Amino acid sequence: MRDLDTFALDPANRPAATAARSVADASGVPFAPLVVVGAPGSGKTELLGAIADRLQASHPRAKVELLDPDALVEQERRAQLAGRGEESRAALVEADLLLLDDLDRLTRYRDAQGLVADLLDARRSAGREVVVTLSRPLARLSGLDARLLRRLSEGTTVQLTLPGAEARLTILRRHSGVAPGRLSETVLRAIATADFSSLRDYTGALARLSAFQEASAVPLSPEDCLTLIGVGRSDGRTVGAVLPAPLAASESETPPAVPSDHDEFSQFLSDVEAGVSEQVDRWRRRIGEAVSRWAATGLRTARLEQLLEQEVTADPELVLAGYERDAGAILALAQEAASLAPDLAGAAVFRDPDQLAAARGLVEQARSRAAPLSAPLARYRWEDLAGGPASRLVLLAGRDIIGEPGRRYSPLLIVGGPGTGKSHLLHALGNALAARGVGPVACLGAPAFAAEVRGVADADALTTWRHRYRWVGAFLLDDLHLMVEERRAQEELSQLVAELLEGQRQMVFASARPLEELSGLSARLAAQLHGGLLVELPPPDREMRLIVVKRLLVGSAAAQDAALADYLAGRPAESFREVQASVQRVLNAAAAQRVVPSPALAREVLEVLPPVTLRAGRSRPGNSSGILSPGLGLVKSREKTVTEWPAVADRLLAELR
Amino acid sequence: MPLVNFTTREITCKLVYYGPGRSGKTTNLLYIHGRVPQDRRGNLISLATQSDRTLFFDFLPLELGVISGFTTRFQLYTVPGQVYYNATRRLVLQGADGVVFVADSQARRFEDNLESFQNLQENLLEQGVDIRQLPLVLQYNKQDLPGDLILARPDLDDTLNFRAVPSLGADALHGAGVFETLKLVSSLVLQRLSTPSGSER
Repeated sequence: MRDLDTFALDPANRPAATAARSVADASGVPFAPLVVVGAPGSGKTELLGAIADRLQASHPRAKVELLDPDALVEQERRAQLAGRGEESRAALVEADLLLLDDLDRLTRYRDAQGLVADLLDARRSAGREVVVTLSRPLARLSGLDARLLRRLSEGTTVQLTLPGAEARLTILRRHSGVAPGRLSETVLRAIATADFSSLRDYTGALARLSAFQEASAVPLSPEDCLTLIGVGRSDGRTVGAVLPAPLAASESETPPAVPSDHDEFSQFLSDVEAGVSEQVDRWRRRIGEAVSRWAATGLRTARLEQLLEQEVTADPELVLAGYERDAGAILALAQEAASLAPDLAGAAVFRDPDQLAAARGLVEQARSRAAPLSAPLARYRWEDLAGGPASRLVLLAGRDIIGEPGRRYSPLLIVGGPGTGKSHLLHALGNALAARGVGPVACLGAPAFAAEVRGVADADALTTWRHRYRWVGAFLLDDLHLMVEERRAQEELSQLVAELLEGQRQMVFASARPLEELSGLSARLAAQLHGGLLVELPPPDREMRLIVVKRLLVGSAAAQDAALADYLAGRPAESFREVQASVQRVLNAAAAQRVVPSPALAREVLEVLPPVTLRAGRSRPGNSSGILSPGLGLVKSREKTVTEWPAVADRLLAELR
Repeated sequence: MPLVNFTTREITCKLVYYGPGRSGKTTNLLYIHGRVPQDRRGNLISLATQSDRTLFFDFLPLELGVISGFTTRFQLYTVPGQVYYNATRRLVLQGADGVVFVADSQARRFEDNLESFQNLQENLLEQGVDIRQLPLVLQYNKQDLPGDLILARPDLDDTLNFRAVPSLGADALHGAGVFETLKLVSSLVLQRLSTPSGSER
């Protein structure tokens, strides 16, 4: 434990020791505050520690706060961030003893000077003591505000000088007690008489020698020690001689006498200075609190920090009100952007009230994008797809795209004849991408895209329309071959492809004809599509046809008829649409004849009666009407039968209900 | 008049000494003028009659230097106490940031004090200023006179200080209470600096 009596060993330090003892024992009227002035290394921190130890020895529950400016500012900053600024300051006011070390370092923290002045005021009003240490006399301090200086000058100032050798020896003995390697008394005396200018040098030398001793089997001699720490004796005498008299305080450390009786005007001026400083500090603190509060919400506070860094150059009330108005507006914009376009919500402009105009611009864009996009049909799910050898390649590509959207195979072009399942695949892929969080996903046919372009009336509308697609997470376009006559739509599509490529967004196109056959397609668009992956989707193979047939027979009397399913799957078909038509003809015939569907009936219907062929005019490539004509002669009516909307058979492998 | 001008970084406080004629308003300013270093004060402009009665007003500018980045000035005015100079009083009172009401402690001036105080309220009201919102200090001057001639501070408080504003006794001729009054009203004015209404662009 640090002992105040150590300091009393030096006559020059006795006033400081007496005052410190009075504080620790709470035996006198508060000094309000006690200001301890001493050069660096004179033992000020040691003295504060000794005061704290003595108080807590007599009052174990006493709450003592020992802080230096760095710790104080950090504590305040953390409290502000946690919204407990008032609570933290109240704790400092209510502590039984507040010890502020090296307060002259507060010049680095202009904002905290008002806080300390307030603390001193509040503790003085509450009759609680504060002890402050300074490395320079008050009169030589610069950079502290007038109010704080005034408060300090109203207290009692005592000097602390480097302790004399006897006191140093006592301090070293105490430190030696907790050091790893015990040093002999003669060594301690040698260190105490060494010629250092700071108490820290003595304790540092002790620490080094203790560590050395710890590692050495041979006890160190005083001469070894002085050699090791590289200093001479302060008195030039031999080790163990009479210790020198305590060092007197240097003239330069004596503060100039503060006139005890100021003239009236000086006192008035001092009051005004303190009053103005206090009010300016109050502004600074308000701004500082606002900085902490808004910074905690993630907003940039450069505008307010500028006020703190410089002298107050603008009405802080107006600046604060302006900032808070802009901050509120930008938070509202961020919220709106998040709801309209989640990818925009994290934009840096939404964290900077100084970029309100830019934030408004982004939200405008988000609003324009908010017009609903054509989304993939929800009933087509990637996990429901069943593949066969024919579709293996396209399914593998789709799986990779879902795994790394925009990074592999973008754009992907699927080429396949009518009814091979391109549209089904496109919608299923779109849903899988949306489920993965790639959003928004636009999935539409080329005719619809071209119609949108044709519907754009003017340049403003065109800009808005472009914004809708520019921010999509994935863009899937079906029936590309139907856009060969649409020059303007192709130009817009080409521009969109370029932008989405740059943004690494996923694009998938489907066409019933290979690119080489699309003579009306612009060279630029063709080149862009050639840059991606082209995958052919051939007619369904037997394996896939069997899966489809079995699904189509589910719910019929022949659901378990493997022979019928095998027969139907074995019939050649260029598309799923043909497979479905065949199954439907057999089921319809069975229903008309009131018999159970069988392979024999199927042969009769499909081989004896001429097959229904979908006329080119009605089943244009990519037509997904789902409207099928029943078998001729089985149903007299020429009405069409809607089996599913849209027709499952138009797609790849669907879950049939 | 702006209290705080952030454009020019100036703080200017206009303090008006108000009160009945011969209560000691000019004496307050004279004493302050005598204690302020020459480099901090302007000339005391006093328009007085031959019998030393203030004809128009006294004006004492105080330059307090740069405080916390603001050039700080105090402007001290007195008003003519005579009843017939009310127009001048209203003029001087315009834009006042704080008022010291200098009351004459003599018992025989009791009515004059009351009349002047009521006049102060009326003139402020005419300018749309609520006296309750204005920094105001009551100074009971001439407390050095024999006790049988003057009213004690509690008595003066009872009659004049029904708004419970800060009050103090003074002997302006010899300086007692003069700077205390100035400090008191200054501190009240400065406390309003950080309020939104206390600053203007």
